[in-house]
Amino acid sequence: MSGASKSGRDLVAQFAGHLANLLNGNDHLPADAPVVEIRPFQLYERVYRGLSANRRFLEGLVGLWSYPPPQEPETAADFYFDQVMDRPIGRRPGKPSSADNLRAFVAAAAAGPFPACAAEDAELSTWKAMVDGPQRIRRFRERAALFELSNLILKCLDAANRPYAEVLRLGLCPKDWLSGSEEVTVNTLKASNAFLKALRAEMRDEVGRRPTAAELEAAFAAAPVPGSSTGAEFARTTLGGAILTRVAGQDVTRMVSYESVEAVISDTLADEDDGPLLAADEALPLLERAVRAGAVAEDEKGLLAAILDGRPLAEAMKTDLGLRRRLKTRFDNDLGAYVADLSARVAAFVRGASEGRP
Amino acid sequence: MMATDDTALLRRFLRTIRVSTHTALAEYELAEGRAGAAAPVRFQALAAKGADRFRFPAAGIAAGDGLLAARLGRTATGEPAALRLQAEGAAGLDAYAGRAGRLRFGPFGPEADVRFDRDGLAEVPLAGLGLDEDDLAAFTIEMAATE
Repeated sequence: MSGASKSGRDLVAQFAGHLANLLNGNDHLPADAPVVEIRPFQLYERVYRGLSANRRFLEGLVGLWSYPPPQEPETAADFYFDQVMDRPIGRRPGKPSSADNLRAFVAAAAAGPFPACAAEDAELSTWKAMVDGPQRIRRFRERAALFELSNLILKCLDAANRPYAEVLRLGLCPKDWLSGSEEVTVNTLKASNAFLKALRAEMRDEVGRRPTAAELEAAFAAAPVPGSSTGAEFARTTLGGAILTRVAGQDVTRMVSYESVEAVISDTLADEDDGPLLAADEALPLLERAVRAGAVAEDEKGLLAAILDGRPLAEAMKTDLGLRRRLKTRFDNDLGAYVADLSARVAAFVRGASEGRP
Repeated sequence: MMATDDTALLRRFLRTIRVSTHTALAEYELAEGRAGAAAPVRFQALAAKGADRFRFPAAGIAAGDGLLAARLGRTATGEPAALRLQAEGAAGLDAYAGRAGRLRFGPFGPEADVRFDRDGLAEVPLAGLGLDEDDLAAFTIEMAATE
């Protein structure tokens, strides 16, 4: 198993990076501005615009393809914001949540005193952790600090995005299953995805038909869903029925989107880790190992080292003709696709090295 | 399952690469959005992509603003030698004559300085820029602010 997807992109990480840059004012302030004002409504407009107008976010994160016609980007982006960005993130007993950590990080950058939040005990969402603290913060101008901000946002999104992403992974519309009378728990969604994977294996990935009774029961035996005792019983539930109808559908576009989303999610969830990010000098020997393992080329190591060292991506690309050629010939000048591929190759290298492969 | 020290380090490394590359990419895309708002003038050859290699049209390429025409000068052996940019009409002269700007080929360069004379003509030598002819299918010119 390579583990690295070619089609799927790590959109959750990119969205976290996008949010970190927006919070830091990198979209409208000159590089040397020392302070950024946090205006929640203005920031909301920018986040909302990214979700509803950026095609990559709209398809891969929001999953507009899963919404019934008429598909309205604004409505879907609104629902995504409420369900993911503003989803309260729970705490483990005695431990701060990822949103608490994010708020503390933002608060530590306060430019001047600010009133404490009224409801300290309430579970925070990613959004509230970003905007409910100080109104003015010193900008994260050191690259390591901006990466840490992005990392903390990503930790929030890894948790808050999960139920939404699990529904998309089933090929269903999140609006139908995350609110109202049909609301399903994340554990049921995860189990349902495992069942769907087993079912597709039993059906040898044939779409456009309903499974036979034998295929249904074999898949359920391999991946049972809590609350049902047999495959037939699960198929009679509202969720089970929707999944089987989805499998029996012949909408190729949706299946392609589903595959892509699944790839993104499996990449996203594979490297959950609580350790701090590595400093550039700590990462360099590992980049050398990735080069020796053939995962990244020597000039790509230079690009990654430059990024870790704080050089803007455009500047790092401009100085290397070989990288520009590769970007043009292999990725048709799509920098996002190149970065995703590079990141996926590093992920494949890490998985291989962790499993003891050379 | 207990992670070994090396495994834990590798996982932190993966997360570091994941976060840093995507944050840098997001920053780049936001900066591009701002640059796009400043709207450099774009040259784009029609049918630049096809089964055959791109060949710069003998008739030249018009800029998106319609005020500039680009023609390609070649060496005796037919290799691209220089781009000749000519302002067109009274509006073109008004916009470009006597001004300086910067040509940009592709999203990450290379770039070249350009200065229009009083007749609205500028010639940009291509030697040393490391360009193929198909790099000339699309490029932009961004004018410096006037004093």
